[in-house]
Parts: sequence; C-alpha cells; structure tokens
Amino acid sequence: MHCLAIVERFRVRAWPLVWLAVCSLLLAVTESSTSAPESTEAGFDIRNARTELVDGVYLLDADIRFVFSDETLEAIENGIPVTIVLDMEVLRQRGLVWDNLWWDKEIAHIEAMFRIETRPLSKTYLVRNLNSGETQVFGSFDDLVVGLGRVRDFPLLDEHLLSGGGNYYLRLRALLDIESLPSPMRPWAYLSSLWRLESDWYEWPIER
Amino acid sequence: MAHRALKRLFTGIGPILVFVLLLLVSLVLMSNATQGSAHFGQLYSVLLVINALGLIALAALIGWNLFTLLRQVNRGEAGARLTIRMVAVFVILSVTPVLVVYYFSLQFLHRGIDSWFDVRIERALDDALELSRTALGVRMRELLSHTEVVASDLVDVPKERLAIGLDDSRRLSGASELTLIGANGHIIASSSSDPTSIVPNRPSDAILVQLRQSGTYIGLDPIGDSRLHVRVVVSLPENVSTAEPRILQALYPVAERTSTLAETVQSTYGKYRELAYLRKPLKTSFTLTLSLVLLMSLFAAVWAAFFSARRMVAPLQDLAQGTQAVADGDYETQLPETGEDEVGFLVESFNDMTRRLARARDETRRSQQQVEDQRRYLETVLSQLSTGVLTFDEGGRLFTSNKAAEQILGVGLQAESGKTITQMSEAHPKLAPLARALEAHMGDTGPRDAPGADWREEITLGGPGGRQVLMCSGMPLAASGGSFAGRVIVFDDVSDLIQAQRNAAWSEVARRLAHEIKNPLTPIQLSAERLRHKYLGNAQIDDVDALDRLTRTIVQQVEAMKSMVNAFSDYARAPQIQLGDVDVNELVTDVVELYLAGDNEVIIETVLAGDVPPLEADADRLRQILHNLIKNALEASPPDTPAHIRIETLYVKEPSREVVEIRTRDFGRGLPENLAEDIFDPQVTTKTKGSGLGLAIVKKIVEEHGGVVWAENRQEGGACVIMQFPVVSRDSRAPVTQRQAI
Repeated sequence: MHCLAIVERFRVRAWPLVWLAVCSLLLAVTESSTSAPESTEAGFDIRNARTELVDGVYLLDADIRFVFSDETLEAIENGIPVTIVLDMEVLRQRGLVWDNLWWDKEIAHIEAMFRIETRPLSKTYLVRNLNSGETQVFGSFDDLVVGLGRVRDFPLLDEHLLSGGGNYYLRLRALLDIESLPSPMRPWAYLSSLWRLESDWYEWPIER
Repeated sequence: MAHRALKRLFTGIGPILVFVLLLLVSLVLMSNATQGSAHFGQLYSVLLVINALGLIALAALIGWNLFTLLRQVNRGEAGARLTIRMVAVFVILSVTPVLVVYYFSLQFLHRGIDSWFDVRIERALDDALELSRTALGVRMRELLSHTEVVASDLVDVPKERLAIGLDDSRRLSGASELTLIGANGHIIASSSSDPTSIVPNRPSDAILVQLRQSGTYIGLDPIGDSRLHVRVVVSLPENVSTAEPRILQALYPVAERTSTLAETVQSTYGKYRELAYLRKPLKTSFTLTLSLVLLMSLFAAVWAAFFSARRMVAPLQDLAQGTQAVADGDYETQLPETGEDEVGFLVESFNDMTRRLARARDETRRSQQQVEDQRRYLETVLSQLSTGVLTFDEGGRLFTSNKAAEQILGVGLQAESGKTITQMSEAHPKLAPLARALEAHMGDTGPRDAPGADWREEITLGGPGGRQVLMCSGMPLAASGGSFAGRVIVFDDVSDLIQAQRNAAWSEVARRLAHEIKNPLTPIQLSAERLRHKYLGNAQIDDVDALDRLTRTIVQQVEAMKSMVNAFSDYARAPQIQLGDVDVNELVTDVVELYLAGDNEVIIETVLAGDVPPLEADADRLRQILHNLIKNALEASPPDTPAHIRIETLYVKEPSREVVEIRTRDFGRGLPENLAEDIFDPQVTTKTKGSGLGLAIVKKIVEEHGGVVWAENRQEGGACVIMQFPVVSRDSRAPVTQRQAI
C-alpha cells in the first residue's frame, strides 16, 4: 500500500493547460466537434470521506457519486477501458499568516487508479485496481458505480509520514483519466466537456 | 549581435533543416502512436503538441519571410518582384502534387479503415461469443445445481466437521475452492485445491447483493492467473442448530482449453467492438496525422521555396545593386563570387567591367589633372605676360582672356566671357576699332578665314585715357582632329613704344638742330652787327635805310632762330624735374593773373573745383604747360574779337583711378580732324608762326608727371586740351622726391 506512486502533482493537472494551447489548431484541422449538449447529471461528486488510523496505517473511507456521461458509457459499453483516478494529496497546513503567501506543503501525493473493463462473455463489468492488480466483478453497470463509489479501508499512508508537528489535512478528488484512453480518442476527450469528468477537491483534516 | 544571431537562425539553412528533421522525426513517432504503438502511445499527446507548436513555428517563419518580401516589394528593392514570382512558381509546383497526394491518401485511408469492418465478421464474432456463452452456460447451470446439492449436504454438518466436509465436497465436485462464509462476511471454513492459497477468494459486495436479491449467483470470472473460473455462490438452507445464515462460494476452473478459447473469443470480440467504436476517432486521428504531415511538407516546401528563390535571386540582386552603384558613379563595386554557373560568369564579367571602368576613370582623372595642371600653368604664364591674349571659340564667343588683356583694353573681360566681340563693343564703345578689325578677319558668328590664316594688324583705340595703339595678331586654333576650334588673338599696347620712338627721334632732331644751327648763328649775328656798326656811319644816305633795315632784319631773324633753336634745345634737354606739393588752383590763378594784368582784350574764365587735392609735381614745369596752352589758345582765338579762354580744374575719383584734370578751352575754330591725333607731335601746328613745339613740350611734361593729355573739338565750337595728372596718395608716395624725366 505504501508503494503507491508519489508522483509530481502537476503531471496530470498540467495537461489541460497544454491542450488549451493547441485547441485552436485542432479545431481548425479537424471535423466539427462531436460534443453534444452536456448532460447536467454527468460528473463526479465526493459525498463523504474520512480517514481512520488502524494499526499505524491511515485507511480511507469515501462515498463518491459517479455519474458518467452518455459518451463515456457508450465507450465503456463498446469495450473501451476507462480509468478512474482517485487523486489524493496529504498536505501540511502552514500558519495562517502564510496562508496567502505560500502553498501548503505537500507531504504525499497518491493516485489510486481503477480501470473499468467489460466482460462480453459473462456480460459483466470488471474493475481492476491498477495499483494492486485486484479485480472486482459487477453484474451490472449500476452495481459497478455503487461499488466503485464505496471506498472502504483504502490504505493511504503510514502514520510515521505525519510525524512532524502541525496540522495535516487530506484532499481527494475523482477524475476520469483521459491519458489512459486509446490515443485516437484523447484529442477529442480533451476538447469535449463530456469527457472531462472531475470532482471538486474534498478536504478534511486528518485526526491524529 | 543578438539580432544577427536571430536572423541567422531564421534564414540559415542549417538550423531550419535540423528543425524540419526533428519535426519529421516527431511526426514519424506520432504516426506510430496513432497506429497504436505501445512505445509511443503514451507520448501521443506530447507529440501532438510538439508537432502543432513546430508547425506554428514554421508558419510564423513563413509569415515572417512573406512579410519581409512584401515589404521589400513595397520599397521597390531590387530583385524583390523576381523573388516573389519565383516563390509563387516554386510553391505552386511543390504544393499541387502534395495536395493531390494528400487527397488520394485520405481517400485510401478512409476506405482502408472502413474495409476493416464487415457485417459478416461482426456477425461471426457475435455468434462465436454467443456460442461460448451457451457452451459455458450449460456447464454453469450444472455447476450451480451441483453446488446447491453440496450446500444442502453441508447444512447438517456440524461446525467442527465443516472443514473436512468442505474438503470432501470439493474433491467430489471438482471445484478448485469451496468457501463457507458467515452472515457478517467472516469465513467459516474453506477448502482449496491449491495448497499455497492461504486467503480464500471472497465474493464481492456486488455478488452478495445479487445473492440477496436472487438467492444464487453464478458468474464467469478470471481469478488468480486470469484463468477463467465459474463462481457459484449459494445460500445455505436455514438450519436450526446454526442460527446465522451462511453462504457457500464454489470456484470451478474452466477447462484450460475452453478457458483459452473463451478468452480468445472474448478478447477478439472486445477488440473488434473497440475498433468499431474507434472507427471515427481513428479516421480523424489518421487524418490529423496526415494533415500534420501535409502541413509540415507544405510549410517546409514553402520555406524551401523562399530560401531557394532568395538564394537564386541574391546574385541578380547584387548585380542590380552593383549596376545601380556603377550608374551612380561608384566604380569600386565588386560582387561576391557565386560559382561556376552562368550567373557566376555574369558576376565575374561585372566585376571585370567595374575594374576596367575604375581604371579608365582613374586614367581620365589623371589626364584631367594633367590638363588642369597645364591649363593652370598656361594661365599663370599668360597672366604674367604683358601681352594681351584673347581666345574665341568656333562661334566667335570670348572663351578666355588674361590679365594683361584686361589692363590694355581697360575692360573687365571675365564678365564678357561668352559674348562675341560685337556684343562686347556695344557694351564698351572703346573696343569698336578692335571689333571691326576682328570681324574683318573672323566675322561675328563663325569662321571667315580659312584655318591656318594668320593675320597681324595695328589697331588704334581711342578713349578718355588717350589714344592706344595695339599691335594685334590672330591665328586659328585647331582641335585634335585638325578641325577649327576657335581663334587666339594676341595684342600688345605699343603706344608708349611708338611715343618713345617719336620722342627719341624728335630729341635727336632738336639736338642736331641746336648743334648745327646754333653754332653759325652767333657769327652771323656778330657779322651783321659789325656790318651795321662799320658801314652804317659811312654809308650813303640812300643806303643807310636799307643797311639799317637789312642788318636789323638779320639780327632779329637770327634772334628768332636762336630762340627757336633754344626751344628745340629745351625740348631735347632732359632737365630734372623738382617735385613738390602743388596747389593746382593756386597755380592756375597765378598764371592767369599774368595774362589779365596788362591786356584787356583777353577774357580768361576759370572754373576751379574746390576739392582738388594737391599734386605732387614740378610747379615751374606745370606753369610752363599753362603758359604754352594759354598762348596756344590765345593764338587760336579769332583775331577780330577779344580772346576767350576757359580753364577748368576737376577732381575725378573713380574706383580704379584718382586724377586731377585741367581743361583748357578756347572758342576758336577748333582742330582740324586730321590733326587731332598728331597735334602733340613736334612741328605739327595749325599756326603760321612758332616752333610747333608748344604742345609737344606740354605732352612731354605731362607724361613726365605720369599723366595723359589729349585734345578734342567741342561740339559748341573751339578746341579743348585735357590733361589728367594722377593723384599719388601720401601713403603710397615713393620715398624719393626727385624723379628723372624719361
């Protein structure tokens, strides 16, 4: 569980900025955008999240509401693997004075990646935890959404990582990883809001 | 420096080639990524961005080139229009085939992608999947029944025997794992065919939910090493002894062959569905890649067109600028060598031409300098000559003149340059005799004489300064080809020379006369007086009168001859003049007083200017002049009326001269026309008596004082003798007070 990759926080978030630079060119040389009017329902939402210290390891419990857009559903139904990322950051809060001047210091950045696949033979859906390799099978997509949204006892980080003084807090968001899509789909996914499924950050203090 | 480096970066071929090469590599990688390469798939987005930015950079480079070129066209720079024409041709030649290839490639690409999909294949895959499902479905239903039987068998098994019971049931059923799970999810017992497996596989929450809903769950899941397993989960029937509800999960491995086949069918089906779904994005993606390749090719071609056009036009541009420079007179222009081709030959010829031109110009400059030196030399020589030199061009217009000519003629000739002699004589009437003489030889408008005809003539000019005698000669000037190029006129003022010759001759005459005649006169006079004394007393009465009259006549005539000889002697003698400040007005008044004292028959009118400065002169000799002139005027006056003379003094101040003028005027019959010129020569007289030396002496004395004298008839009657004496300012006066008469 500690082997979860701690990667540069800007790796994922920098891409939309880069893409903005080439939007105009892409729009000019391709056919008209396929984006339909955005479904008001589509989007991810973190309802509740908390951490619990069990045997020196912080475990995450979270309830996330996943509402996929028709485009993403269609892609999944057609066998396109879709990866959902739970993006987690453990931050140490700086003093109030510094709030406006410095970013809070990042202690750990964890990305839990879940790939949704279809099993046409058994007409089931499979969720594969790309970090651990564990799989979960769901008989229906609704079950998958429920199962994926119910995160329980997800091992987050060791207690000793938070040994320093100060207040720590954790923030979490869920997003659809466009970079994991097949390459032909990526440009349009970046350009279409129907593919940019991302929840807001959900923050809460870590109780020690 | 930075600007130059930037320019080199934008215009140099090296950096651009490297850039285009990198872009090409990037496009190749992107093409691989588009085709699903595992290596470059992750880099797809990066490559797309890099290529897009590269193309934008290329487009900007082309835009800059175009902007520069259009600016050059607007400025009218040499070669700009040719460059734009060549660029247009290159672009059309390169872009057209690329566009055609692009169009057909797109067609092939879309058709190629479409050809991957076939309804029959899709149907076959559907059927294969359905077949697999059916085949596995039968087996799964059997396994469900079997598991249910096992579950019912386990109902009554006591808790402590459950492990053994499960193990037996597993062996009997052929399951790979049997697990009995309690109500709260805890594992009651488990049996596995894999002895290394410690933790049994748990049914997921979703399975449990489904179990609660339908009572059983059966599914085909990949477990462990992805081998397919049939997972059967059933609830155990309620048992009195065990209050908690229990469930049994059985995992049956699907036969390896079946599993492999099923997986193959499933993955192939999945891939096909995925591909079918990606058909449109794939087409767009390939189109995008192809478009990027096209754009890169186009941009590279357009840039190459700019580059090659500039490179080809550059020597021509240099040539145009070089020609312009040569036209502006810069013969030092040398163009850089361009190579061995025709343009190179042209450039070499141009350089050779400018070198020759520069040499020719230098030689011309040298010869011009030589000519200029010679001209200056000649000018110096001419200016030092006392001989006047005038040159006229072939049209008879004054071309050059020297200082001596100006001094002799008394005319500013620089201002007259370009005028004919006739035009000059109109402005300066004094030159009329010269003009007449020249016209007689060369005409007014062109050559009259045959080339080579020299002439020589003495010309007399009149004027306020007196008579001038010029010895004038002319000859035609020949141009280099022997053609007529004008005339040169050379003249000397020989007035003084002639005068000196005359004076010398008359002095000689006077001296001889004085010598030869004066000597016998005294004996004659003495002899006559002796005759008178000796014979007058003894002579008869009749002879006394005759003797007296004759001897007196001899004595008187000898006296007269003596005085005449003395006059000649005075003329011939060269007495020293005694210079001193003379008030001319006072002198005139003194002399006139003498004539007015005893004779009332004489009217001498004096008009004396008040501003006459004192003259540096010999007062006695000036007095003699006045006596001579008054005597002459009295003698010229008509005998029947009282003599009337007017003497005027004037002070004439002009920029070039400053003179005191004395005019003596009578009201007689005037001078005969033919004598006006020679009246001042000795023995020239209009009178019946006198020596004829009066005016000659006047002229001599005036000239001794550096003045001029001339006589003219007045329109209202009478003659006027005008004398001008130069006023020598005190500052420039010579230190000597005595001057030897010439």
